[in-house]
Amino acid sequence: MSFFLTQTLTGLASASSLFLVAAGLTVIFGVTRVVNFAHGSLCMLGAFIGWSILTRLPRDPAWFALGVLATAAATALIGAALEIGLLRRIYRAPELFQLLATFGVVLVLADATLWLWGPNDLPLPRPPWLRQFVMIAGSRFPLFDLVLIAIGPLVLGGLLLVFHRTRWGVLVRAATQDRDMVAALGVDQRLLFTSVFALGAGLAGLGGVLALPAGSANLQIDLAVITEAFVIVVVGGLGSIGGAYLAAVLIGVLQAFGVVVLPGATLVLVFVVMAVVLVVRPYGLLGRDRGQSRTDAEAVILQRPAGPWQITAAGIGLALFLAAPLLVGPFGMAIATEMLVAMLFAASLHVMMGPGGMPSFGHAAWFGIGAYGAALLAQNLATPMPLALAGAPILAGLAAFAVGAFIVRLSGVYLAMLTLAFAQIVWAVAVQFVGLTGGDNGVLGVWPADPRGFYYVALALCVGGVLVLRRIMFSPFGFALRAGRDAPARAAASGIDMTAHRLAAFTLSGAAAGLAGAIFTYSKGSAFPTYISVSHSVDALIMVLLGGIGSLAGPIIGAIAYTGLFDLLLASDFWRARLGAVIIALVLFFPAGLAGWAERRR
Amino acid sequence: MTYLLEASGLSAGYGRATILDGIACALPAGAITALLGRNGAGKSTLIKTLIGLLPPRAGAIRFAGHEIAGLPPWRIARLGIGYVPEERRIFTDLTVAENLMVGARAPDDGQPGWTTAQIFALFPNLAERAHASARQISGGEQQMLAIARTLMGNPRLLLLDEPSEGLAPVIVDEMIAMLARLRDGGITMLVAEQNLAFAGRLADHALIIETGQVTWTGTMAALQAAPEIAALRLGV
Amino acid sequence: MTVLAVTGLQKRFGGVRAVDDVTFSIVAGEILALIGPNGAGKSTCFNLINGQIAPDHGTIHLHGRDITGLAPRQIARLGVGRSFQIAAGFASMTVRQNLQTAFAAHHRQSWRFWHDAMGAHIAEAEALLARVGLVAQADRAAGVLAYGDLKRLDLAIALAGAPGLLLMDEPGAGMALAERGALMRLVQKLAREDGMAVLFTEHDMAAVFAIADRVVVLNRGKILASGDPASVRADPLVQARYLGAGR
Repeated sequence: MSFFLTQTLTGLASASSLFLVAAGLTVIFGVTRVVNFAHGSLCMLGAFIGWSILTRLPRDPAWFALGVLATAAATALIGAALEIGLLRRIYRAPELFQLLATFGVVLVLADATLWLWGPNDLPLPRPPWLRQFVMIAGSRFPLFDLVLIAIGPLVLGGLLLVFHRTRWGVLVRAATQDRDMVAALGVDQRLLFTSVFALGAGLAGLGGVLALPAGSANLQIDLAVITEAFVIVVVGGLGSIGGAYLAAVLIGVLQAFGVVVLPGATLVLVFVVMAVVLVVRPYGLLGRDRGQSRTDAEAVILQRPAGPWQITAAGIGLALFLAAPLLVGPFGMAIATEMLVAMLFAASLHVMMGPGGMPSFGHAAWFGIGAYGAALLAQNLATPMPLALAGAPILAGLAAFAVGAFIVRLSGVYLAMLTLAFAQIVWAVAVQFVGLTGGDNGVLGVWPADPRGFYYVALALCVGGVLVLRRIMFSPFGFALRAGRDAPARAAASGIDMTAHRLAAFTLSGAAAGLAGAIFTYSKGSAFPTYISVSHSVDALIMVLLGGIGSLAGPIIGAIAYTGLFDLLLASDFWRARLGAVIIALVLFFPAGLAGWAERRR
Repeated sequence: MTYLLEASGLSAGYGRATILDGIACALPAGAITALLGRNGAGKSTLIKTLIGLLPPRAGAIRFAGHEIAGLPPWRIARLGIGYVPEERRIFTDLTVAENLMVGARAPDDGQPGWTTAQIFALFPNLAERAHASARQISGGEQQMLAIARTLMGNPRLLLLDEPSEGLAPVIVDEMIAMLARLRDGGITMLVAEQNLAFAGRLADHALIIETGQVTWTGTMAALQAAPEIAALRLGV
Repeated sequence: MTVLAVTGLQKRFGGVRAVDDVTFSIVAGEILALIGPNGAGKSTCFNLINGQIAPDHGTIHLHGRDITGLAPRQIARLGVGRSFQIAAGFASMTVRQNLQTAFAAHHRQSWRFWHDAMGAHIAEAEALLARVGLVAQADRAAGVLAYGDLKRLDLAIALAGAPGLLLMDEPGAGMALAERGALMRLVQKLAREDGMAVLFTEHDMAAVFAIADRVVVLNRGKILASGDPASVRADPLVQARYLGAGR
C-alpha cells in the first residue's frame, strides 16, 4: 500500500514540472500555431539562471520563492525577445520551417549556455529545509516533492483563472480558436502573441528552476525536456491546458511505477501509452480537430524528371565519385563516403516528406535501426557483410511499417512530433540497453574486409538506392502517392487508397534510411547513439529543405552541400551556434529552399 | 454623395487563382449597399480583402481618409471597419458575454461607445443567454452574436457576408429591422447577398460583381425597376 | 435501366433533418438536377450518395446493388465518379499525368512500383484530353491552370474511372458565363455518348433548365417537386418557395 502511495506521490511531483513546461508549449502552440522546439531550451535556461540567482540569495524558503519567481520573469523576457526577434517574422512560413527555425534557436542557446556557464553540471546546494522529509504511510517522503505536487494544480488553477476571468485570457482563448477573426475584431496580434510567448517561456523557466533541487542545471535538459513535453502536449491535445495536466499526471505516474517495475523501458512505456491514446482519440485526451493546417504557403511545384543538363551534372558528379580514390586522400575518402550516405539518407526523407507529404522530425530512427541492425548482426551473429547490409533495411522497413501503421493517418505537426518521439525512444533504447548496444560506447569493430573495395560497394548501394527511389516515385505508385498529397478527396474519389499508399511510402523511406545507416556503420566501423540523435534527424531535414522539397535533385544537392558545410563548421568551436545561425538565416531568407529560390529567380 | 470607402484597381486571390480582377467600388456614407453576385463571383473575397484578411495584390482602398490596402486586419478594424463573416465564426469555446468582450474596444475619439447593456437591449435573446456557451445557442442567435460582437468595436462601416443565410424567415425580418435601425444611427454597411429579395428589402444601393469585376452599380430601386438586369447579371 | 435508386433517405444533424425521406432514381443516360435554396439538403444528399456520410434511414442502390454505408473509395470503385465544387487537380503533375494517374487507379495499377507511369495509358489519356478540350494544356502543370480548365480536368479525372453515374456538385460555381455553358454542354454530350447517368446540383437556373432531363427541388430536406424542367418551372409551389416571383 505504501509502495503505491509513495510511487503515486513521486509521479505527481514529477508531473508538476512536466506540466509547467508542457503548459507553456501548448499555450504557445494554441495561439501562434508554432511548435516551439526551443521550449526545452527555455526550460534549461530557467535551470541555469535559477542556479545563478539561488546560489547568490540567502538560503531560506522566502528568498527561494522570490528567486524562483525572478527566474520565471527572466525566461519570460528571453521568450519575448525571441518572439519579437525571430518568430514574428516566420508566422506565415510553412510549419516545418518554423520547427526548423526554433531548432536553430535550440542550437544557438545550447552553445550560449555552454559559453556562459561552462560544461559542468551545476547542482543546487540544498539548504536544510530542502532536505526535509515527511512521514507518509510509514515511509519518508521529500518535503519539496509535496510542494511540487501542490504547485501543479495551483498553476493550473491560476492559468484557468487568468484565461476565464481576464480580458487578456479571453482573447487568448478566442485566438486559440480563430486568430484571424480575433484580428478582424481589432485585437493587436503582435502584443497578444508576444505576451503569450512570454507567458509560455516563463512557465518553461519555472519548470526548469523547480526541477533544480532534485537534479542539476545541465546541458542535456533542452532535448530531454522537449521530447517529454511534446509527448504530453500531444497526449493531452494541442492547445489544451487541462489536457496537458491530465497527460502530465498520466505520464508522470506511469514513469514513477515504470522505473520500479520495468527499469530501462520507461520511455517505451510512454510511447505505448501515447500510441493507445492517439488511436482512441486522434487529437489527444482533451484536444479537438483544429482544422486543416494551411497549405497555400507551400507552393506546389511541378515535379518533372531531370532535364539534359541535370543528367550531365549528375554524370560528372558520378564520375568524380568513381575517381575519388585516385584524387583524394583518406580524409577526402571519408568525406566522400559521408556524402554518399547523406545523399541516400536525405533522398529517403524526401520520399516521405515530398511525394508522401509526411513531415518527419525523427528520420534518424530508421537510420539508427539500420546502423545498429547491421552492427549487431555482424557482431552477435557473425553475419557476413552482404547479408548484414541486406538485413538492415529489412529491419528498418519493418519498424517503419509497425510505427507508420499508427501514425500515417495523422497530419502535419502531429506526424512530425510523433516521429520525433519515436526516434527518441530508439535513441533511449540504444543508450539504455547497455548489454545489447554497448550504451554510449556503441558497437565497435564492424569493419568491411576490404576498405577500398567497400567504398565502391557504398557508392553502388547509395547511388543505386537513390535511383531505385527515383524510379518508384515515377511509377504509378509514386504518382498515386503524389495525387493523394496534392488533392486527397480527388484521389480518394478516383479509388486511390491514400492511407495504404502513405504507409507503403513510409515503410520504403524507412528501409532506404536503414540501408544508409548500415553503410555508415561499415564505413565508420561502429554504431553510436548519436546516429539516432535529434540533431541527426534535423541534419536530414536541413539537407532536404536546403535543396528544396520539390524534386529529388534537391536533397541530393542539399546532402552534398550540407556535408561539406558541416565538416567546415565542425572544425571550429561553438559549431552548434554557427549551424543554428545558418538554419535561422536559411529560414528567414530562403523559405522555399535553394532550389525553390533559384526557380523563382528564373 | 460622400463616400466612406473607395476602392480602385483592387486585385486579390488565393494561391494562383485570381478572384478580384481590378475592382473599383465606392460605398455611400450612411447607407446600406448590397453586394450582389453569383456564387464564386468574388463577394466574400472582396469583403475579406477590405478587412485585410486577404492582402490585396494590387490596388488602393481609401477609408475615411486613410489608405488601408495592405494594413493588417487589426489596424483596419481599429480604424472603424467591422466584419461579420459568412460562417459567423463566433468563438464557440467562449460564452456569449466573452464573445462580446473580444470585440469590445472604446472609440478612439473618446465618444461613448456601445456598452454591453445597450447591446443586450438591442438583442434581448443574447441577454438571456449571456453566460451560455456560444456553442449551444441557435443559428439565429449565433448570427446576432456575430453582429453584436462587431458592434462592440464601434465600427463606422459594417461588412456583412451573407447575414441571412440559413436563417428562418421570421429571424430574417428581425434582422432587417435591426440593421435598418443601425443604419439610421449612422453606420454605413456593405451586405453581400445571394438573396435578391432580402437585399431589396434592406439596401439603398447595389453593386453587382461578376467574375471579379463590378459590372453594375446604382440604387436598389433602379435595380428592382429593371428585372432584366438581375436576370442577366445574377442569373435569377 | 435504373442506375441509381435512392429510397427514403434520411439524415439528421443534431435536431435538424438535413435530408428527410428523399426518394428518387436516375436511369442510364439521364441528367438529373438537384436544386433548392442554401441549406435545402443538396450537399448532404450528395455526400450520402458518395459515401462521405452514412444515412440514418433509407437505402441507396447502384445498378441494383445496395451501396448504403459503403466507404467513398468502395463506391468510387463501383463506378460512381464525382467532380468537386472547388475543382482540384493533382497540382504537381502535368495535365496528361493527372489523367495517367487516374487511368492507372481505374485499372487497379496504383500499386505498381516499377513501371514507368509516364509511359502508360498515353493513348487513353490523349483521347480523353481531346474529348474535354484540354489537348493544348496537356503538358502544363495542373497547379497553374485557369479555373475553367481546372474544372475540365476535374471532370476528366472523374471520367477516367468510366463511371456509370457522375455526381457533380455545382459544376458551374466560380466560372464565367461562357465557360459555364460550354462545360454544361460538354457534360450533356458525354452523358449522351456514354449512356452515363448524371446527378448535379446547381444555383445557375439557366444551366439547370438548359441541360437537365429532370429536376428535383429540395426544400428543408424534403422533395418539394420533381419532373421535367418545364413543369417544375411552372409549379406554383416551386415558384413561391424557391424561384421567387417574376421568373
